[in-house]
Amino acid sequence: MYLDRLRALCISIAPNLRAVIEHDSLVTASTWNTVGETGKAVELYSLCSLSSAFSSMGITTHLPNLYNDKPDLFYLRNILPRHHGAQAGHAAAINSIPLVDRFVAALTPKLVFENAGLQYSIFREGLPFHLIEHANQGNAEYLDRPDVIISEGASACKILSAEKIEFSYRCESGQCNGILRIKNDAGLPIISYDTTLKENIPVMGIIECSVSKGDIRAEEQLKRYLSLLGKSRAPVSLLINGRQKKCPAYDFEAYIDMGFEKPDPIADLSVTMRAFAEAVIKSL
Amino acid sequence: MASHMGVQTLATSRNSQVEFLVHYIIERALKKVTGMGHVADAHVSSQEHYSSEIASDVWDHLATGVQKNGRKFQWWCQTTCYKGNGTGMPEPNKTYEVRETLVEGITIRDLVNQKDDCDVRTLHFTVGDSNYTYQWFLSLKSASYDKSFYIGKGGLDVFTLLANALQGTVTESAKAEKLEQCIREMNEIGSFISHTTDELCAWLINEGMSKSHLADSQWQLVNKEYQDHAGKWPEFSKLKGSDIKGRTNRFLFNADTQEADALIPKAAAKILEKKPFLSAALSAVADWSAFEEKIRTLCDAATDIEDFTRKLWTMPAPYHLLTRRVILRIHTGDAIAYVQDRDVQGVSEHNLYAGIHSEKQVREICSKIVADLATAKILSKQHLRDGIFAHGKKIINQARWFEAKNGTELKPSFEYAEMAVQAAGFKVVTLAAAKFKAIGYHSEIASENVRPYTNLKAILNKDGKIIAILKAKFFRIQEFPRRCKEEAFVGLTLKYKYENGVFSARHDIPIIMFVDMAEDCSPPEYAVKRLISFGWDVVFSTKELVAHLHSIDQTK
Repeated sequence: MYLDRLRALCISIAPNLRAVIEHDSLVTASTWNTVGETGKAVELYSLCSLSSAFSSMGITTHLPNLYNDKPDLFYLRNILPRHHGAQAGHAAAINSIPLVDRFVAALTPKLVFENAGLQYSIFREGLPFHLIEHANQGNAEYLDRPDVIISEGASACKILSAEKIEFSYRCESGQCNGILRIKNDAGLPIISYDTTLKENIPVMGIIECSVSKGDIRAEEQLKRYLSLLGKSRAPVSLLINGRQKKCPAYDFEAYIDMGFEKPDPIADLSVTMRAFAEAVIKSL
Repeated sequence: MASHMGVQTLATSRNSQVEFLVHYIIERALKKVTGMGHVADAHVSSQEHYSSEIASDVWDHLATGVQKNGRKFQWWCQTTCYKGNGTGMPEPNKTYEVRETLVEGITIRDLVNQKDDCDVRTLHFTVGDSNYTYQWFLSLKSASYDKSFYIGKGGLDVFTLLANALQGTVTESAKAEKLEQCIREMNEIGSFISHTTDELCAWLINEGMSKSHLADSQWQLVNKEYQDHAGKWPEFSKLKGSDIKGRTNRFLFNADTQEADALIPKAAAKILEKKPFLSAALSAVADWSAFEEKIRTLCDAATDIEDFTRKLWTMPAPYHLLTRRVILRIHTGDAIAYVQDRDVQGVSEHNLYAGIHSEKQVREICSKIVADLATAKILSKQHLRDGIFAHGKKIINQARWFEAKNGTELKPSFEYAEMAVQAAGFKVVTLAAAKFKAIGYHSEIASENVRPYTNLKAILNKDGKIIAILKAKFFRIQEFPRRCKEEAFVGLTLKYKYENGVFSARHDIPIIMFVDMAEDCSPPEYAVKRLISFGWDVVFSTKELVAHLHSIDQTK
């Protein structure tokens, strides 16, 4: 019931995303038809709320065409498939979604927008381009992934064959491009890679949804995000918290009533989301 | 909870590098033979999916191309890594992976025979120290794959060499350059690459991609079973799991249960009997202060932390079952090294918690534990005691939860099946009692010593005649395909024998697999069909089992 209401709210505040939110399939079930696991739905709600906030500021967020054709992919994280044969459940993980589609989904932002002549992308639970560049700079891989990431720049990908996919990311400070091998691998399956980026991809804003994280953990996590993603500039940060414990380390914080006890459990969020979106735009 | 599964992360990056190495070798060999005019349009891809009515397997590599004679070819390749360990013993866990590899090799034989316009072959790469594998695997692998390659040498840690060679590389092109450098320098990695490339080329050019006739013969056995069962498969849409395991666990650990089946509490009682840790854990947690008192007394009597640790390790039954688990985990929330990697001679995962160890073993184990405790700044016996008070209950509860669901000695499904069969008027006895030797044909193909299969029971009718062999197991949906593969190997090798170069039925006794699974589990059809095609009669409930036994009995 809670998820149904949340779903309806998503559509009402972000009508441009109606088709993907309403889409029903085995893949969407773990978001909308699950018992006890509300995290994904809250993440999607935050995405819709962000879109709505930008919209109220006169900035239109667009849904990449990919998701009109294949709405299932909207529900996948922006993470390259990394399951490997040594891990349990591998044989059973021959998925309903073809591997090549999962690669495309990982490399495609959920929403894009433009402001003052520059392109921006909004990703969910991962930013593979950043991860690849990070590895290219000789760093160990990181596993930390904010729930929503707003980056400056635009990405593209093109399927070259059953095994190869080309990708690129372009932003003000440079670009990177390369070819990935379409396979489940423990490591990053990079065939080739070129970059003119001096630092890494600029991240303007991050949103973390936390159903029950305590303030100490949330702060630790934010520190990690900032050190990984905020080398050149600190992204504006928003914490959406299911608990009343405040975490002042975040620039913005909204409380979301997980029990749906207040008459409008999300009111707090839309006001804060607007403030967050304004801060992000101001920092651009 | 600190677990033994953390080593998986190390395994995956090692395997990933090895996959790249093998890919590189295959590509290099194909380039060579292309240059010599033997092959055209060569291409190598990874993680190729082979599927048939009885298969859905991922193969590490697939090489394709066209031969000089105009015929196409396909090389399906699998790689198995042997990392070895300090005790010099084979890895017992590896048995499962090798069974899967062999079953995959036999199953794809269908393709080898099917394609008229294409020569299909199977290749296997063993990487690491092959001393760490059961030697019968090497023989049987040669008999199940068309060509086998060995990348490694006794006593050599090829994985570390490879990791060092590839260090700092991110892209495949950079990795390839590093391997080329290895070849130029002719270091160990370079020699392996060069040698294996030459072997692969020679197999193509000089041996005409020779086939394994034993592999084809094994496939014929499977094909016959498959044909015999075609059209008589289980009604998959109507299947419902018995969930003996789940119901027994729930009965053991939940206060209120609506369980109406009288055999479930009996199975639960048998589990507690066989796994004294579970009942000890329940008692200790129920009366924690009494347990703390024992620990306190022991601490007072100990001279230092080493002594305290040894005393904890050797507490009389059942307490050592608790204390060993606690002190192994207390220093970390992360992965604990697999016990066989701790390199203490004679200590294995099977006797770590329950076994009686020699003084020397206890000393070795405990000094490793004390070293681990030091990393968590637990330096004095009082620190350790306080740590046990603070975290012991949680650790024991977690272990109890985990081990009730896992662990090879617990078989509620089998206990239940036995009781149900006995209630129906049959006798269930050990294979020894029935004078049935469960040897698999792999012991006849290999010249090495192979132990007979255990985990099987014999079913006798009223006249004391053996009418079936039974195995019962719980299949989790995530692991269903893998379990079916492992058991497929057991089935085929048990049912048939190899004598004078020919396979034939070993006896006419059916082998029955009672598949226990969650009620709502929908097993993949191909996995069950594979199990059946490799010789098992498969049943999903004890009702079905008993009915099947009666029908077998009547025909005798």
